[in-house]
Amino acid sequence: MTTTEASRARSLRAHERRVRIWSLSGTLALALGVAASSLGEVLTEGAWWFPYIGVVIVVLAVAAVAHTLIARAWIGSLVGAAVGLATLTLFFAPTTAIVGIIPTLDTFDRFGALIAQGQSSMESQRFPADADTGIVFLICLGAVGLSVAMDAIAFVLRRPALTALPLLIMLAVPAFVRSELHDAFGFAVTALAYVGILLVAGERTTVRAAWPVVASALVLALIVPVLLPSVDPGESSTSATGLISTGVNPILNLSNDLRRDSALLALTYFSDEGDEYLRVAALDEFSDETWSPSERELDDANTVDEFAPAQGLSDEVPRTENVMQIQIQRLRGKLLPVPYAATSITDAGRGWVWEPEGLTVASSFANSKDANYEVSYITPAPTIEQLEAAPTELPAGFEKYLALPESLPAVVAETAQQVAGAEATRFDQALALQKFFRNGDFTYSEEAPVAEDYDGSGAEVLGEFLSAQSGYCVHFASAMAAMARSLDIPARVVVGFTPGQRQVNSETDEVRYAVTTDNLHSWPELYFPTVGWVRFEPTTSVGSTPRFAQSVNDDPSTPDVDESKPEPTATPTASATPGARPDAPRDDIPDNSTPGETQISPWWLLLLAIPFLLAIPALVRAVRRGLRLRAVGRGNVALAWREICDSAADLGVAVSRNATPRQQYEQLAAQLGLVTSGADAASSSSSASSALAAVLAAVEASAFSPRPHPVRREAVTSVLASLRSSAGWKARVAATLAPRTAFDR
Amino acid sequence: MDVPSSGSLPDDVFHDRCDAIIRSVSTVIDGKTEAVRLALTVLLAEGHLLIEDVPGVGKTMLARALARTVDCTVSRVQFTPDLLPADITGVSVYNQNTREFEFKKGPVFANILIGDEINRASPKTQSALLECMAESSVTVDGTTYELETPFIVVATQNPIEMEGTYPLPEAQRDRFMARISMGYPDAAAELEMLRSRELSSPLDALTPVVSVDQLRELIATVRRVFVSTAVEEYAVAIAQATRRDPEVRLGASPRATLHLVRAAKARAAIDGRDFVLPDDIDALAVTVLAHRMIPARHSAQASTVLTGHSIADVIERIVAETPVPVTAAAS
Repeated sequence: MTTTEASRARSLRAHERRVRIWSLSGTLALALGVAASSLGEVLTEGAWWFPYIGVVIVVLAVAAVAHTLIARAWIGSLVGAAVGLATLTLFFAPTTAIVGIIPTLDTFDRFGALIAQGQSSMESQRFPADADTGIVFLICLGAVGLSVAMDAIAFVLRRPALTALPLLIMLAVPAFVRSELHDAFGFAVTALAYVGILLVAGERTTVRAAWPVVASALVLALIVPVLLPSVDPGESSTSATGLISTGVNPILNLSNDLRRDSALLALTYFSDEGDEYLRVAALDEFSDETWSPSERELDDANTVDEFAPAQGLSDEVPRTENVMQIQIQRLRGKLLPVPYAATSITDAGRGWVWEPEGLTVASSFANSKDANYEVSYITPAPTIEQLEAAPTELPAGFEKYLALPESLPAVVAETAQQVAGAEATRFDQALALQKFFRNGDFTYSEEAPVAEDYDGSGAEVLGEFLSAQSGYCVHFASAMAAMARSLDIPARVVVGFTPGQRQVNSETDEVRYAVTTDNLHSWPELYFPTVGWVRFEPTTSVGSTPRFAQSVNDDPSTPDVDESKPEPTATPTASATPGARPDAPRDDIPDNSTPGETQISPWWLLLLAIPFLLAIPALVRAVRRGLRLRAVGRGNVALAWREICDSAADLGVAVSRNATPRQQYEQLAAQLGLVTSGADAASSSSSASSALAAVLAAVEASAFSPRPHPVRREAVTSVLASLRSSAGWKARVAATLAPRTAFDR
Repeated sequence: MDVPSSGSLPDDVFHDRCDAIIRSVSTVIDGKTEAVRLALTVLLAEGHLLIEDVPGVGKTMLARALARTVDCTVSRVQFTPDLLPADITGVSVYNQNTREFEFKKGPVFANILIGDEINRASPKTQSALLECMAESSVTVDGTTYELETPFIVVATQNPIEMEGTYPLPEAQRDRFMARISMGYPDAAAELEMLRSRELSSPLDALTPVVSVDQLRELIATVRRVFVSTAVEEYAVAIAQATRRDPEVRLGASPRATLHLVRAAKARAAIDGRDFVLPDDIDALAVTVLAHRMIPARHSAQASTVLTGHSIADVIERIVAETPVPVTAAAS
């Protein structure tokens, strides 16, 4: 061969190599781009896809260029990672970086802030969520990570079959967030792209190797939702609007449930007392943005078979003891609705504990799905006198119920002073506040706050609410609680349900109350020493004021006059809400229906899932080994040999796949350090070699002689053990964690 | 090994006899144990053996030694261009005493026929011999004479590039079960040969170690070696692959497949097994198949010379690519 020919051949090889690198990188980018369709499930619109695919393409293209120039593949992957980081810097934190792309410590601070922003954005939004800057950053960060991982797997490890893992992570995101896999089409297309990767990668992996991966992906997609006690859509047909979840801090998304076109049945209950408000969560922390439950660890000792006594409730206060039967319908979450003040729950299932101050019921792992339980509770009925006589001194630890954020507009406290400052007692002040909201000046509207952009429960929106005089329960409750606090009355906001619709079964005459999403509500609770927490109802035209409080509204001397009756007739709310609400005129549902104190961020779940995904090859291999060894016990000798060869290949021993057992035996014997040739090894003194020779003899006899020859399982396991011990520790670790033959046929 | 089925020799007897033959022949062919084993393999498989190599490496010595270790009828024919078919098969001559034609048997009526330099004879004579090889009978003047059993031809020839030769037609090469070549001895063996040949021909010292009946028993034992379906399919797969391969113009014939399996049985028996392994097929593929196949024109001699890419390489590649049955069985 002349030098011209040699150089021509060289350039031809280089060309083939370039083609291979670029086609493989292109297929990787395609697969990642398609796999991201899964995010369409949980994000609105699609604009986020472009930065995502941009980052993917940049990383993979730069890595591909590096691969063509540099023979060492890991350098290429490293370059890709570095450029990915620079790209993130350029787009998300250029001002903190040197020349806009070289990250500094400030850049990473900024990244940290963006990650936190993305997380809180995901926690606070209902899915599908808007992809704001934080979420887009998380997506792009994931794009860098996944692209580098794909590149490294394909070029450094040279095991394209394993690129399924990053793709799986991508596909699994909606399963973690939404507990379901809607997007079968996206899944199928991604599987096709994956098969494309295998085809492009060619030689060693066959397309058939994809099937175990695809199968485990499907199993994962189906199993994960069952295992995770996360949000669960009520009606899959209506997608995101079909769920009533208590997963996330309720105050943030309650308005969406309020504006729901058609009501969903949350739960039904029956109580001998009649109708009751049901409490889900008590929010005692008031911040700039919102009301939220203060962070307290759930105490496992507080099992629901016996509650603590209600805070501040003295023995003098009259009360009735009642029992309520509650059946959860479409409500999902880690909080159980109960009336105030519950004393015990039976049949609720494991894991539920009560929260000592709010007397609400929560769990760190149980889900309210299909719960059917009985609540014993007392209904305090304080007299007007008792309320008015309540002392003003507060017990220790109640300062937090008076805390107001600095951003609270001054108009709130001024209005409170103006409305109620002149009243004699705290209770009278509270009644004055309630009356202020219900006297007709305020109107109920779920649309006004959105239109004028003061939706939510935070301190800043209260001023606008007071001037616009239009809003829904969250605004009324938040405003009254804040004003009460400004008057030194401890207050908190409670999220729960108004009593619901009375239904009578015409056949059995059974009475029950149906509580729907239209009954979602929030209201303030104010604290009076010796009486305890007292519910108020500032939301105009909604619900009923408490009996003891009603009396004062119109006529303090007749506490039993039920003021709630005129309210339904006066429902401006009914007209204010979309006509689809069938029969529940209580449209004032609280904006953020569900307190999500124990909800784990889906991203953390994803992070937890990564080790599991990475463990798939090891698991597949272990299961195969177990099945094969069992088959050996049943007399399948050929599988014994296959297992030995695969184990050796896992350990990095070169064992030809297409060779006769005897040829493979020679290769194995060389690895084991046996000085032997062929079947004579049986005479070797080493136990490993005699075991290996015994297995070989059995394999050959079973496959090719008229007399099948059994092999003892112990012989196989002893060969496997001696193979392992003959390899270095690195090879052993690699064989365990990333077995090469996991997906081989 | 388990107790052999009836009709077979006990394992140790078989092994002893084979050993004796190999040892005996090896005393005259120094350092060529592999060639000797192959020759014995073909003998026990009742095949005809073609020994091809340059002059003077001991082709004839091997053939004669093999014939001599077996106590049977041996004849030897030196093939020359003027040799006639009747010189091989025999002729009818007029007996004046009985006034009848009488058949004088030719050298072909023997257990072992050594044909020296078979490619020096004219094609007509070659054909006469090769027809005997295929049919184990001779027809002269309308009378058919059965040849002796076993009837084995051990032919030697020089490579066809040498002058004064008539290359065997491919159809006739196909009748030989295997072609082996001797190769040059290594230095030590050559030195040893110099010393031992100083005084006398080592052939003279050779005495038969098995009788013809014992040879028949050995052959019967080989016939009973078990061939599993998997191995049969493996052999067929290799043969079919040779017919499809783009580098091959003429692939292996069905007779080649038959010969391959029969030779594998003999190899298994000599190895002390009563069943055939894929390894037997692998080991014999080149020996049994190479002389019958013709490389494709575009990859023929020219490139063979340049790249060293011979038909043997092609066969080895095909064998390496053909799936081994046990691996398939395990999946």
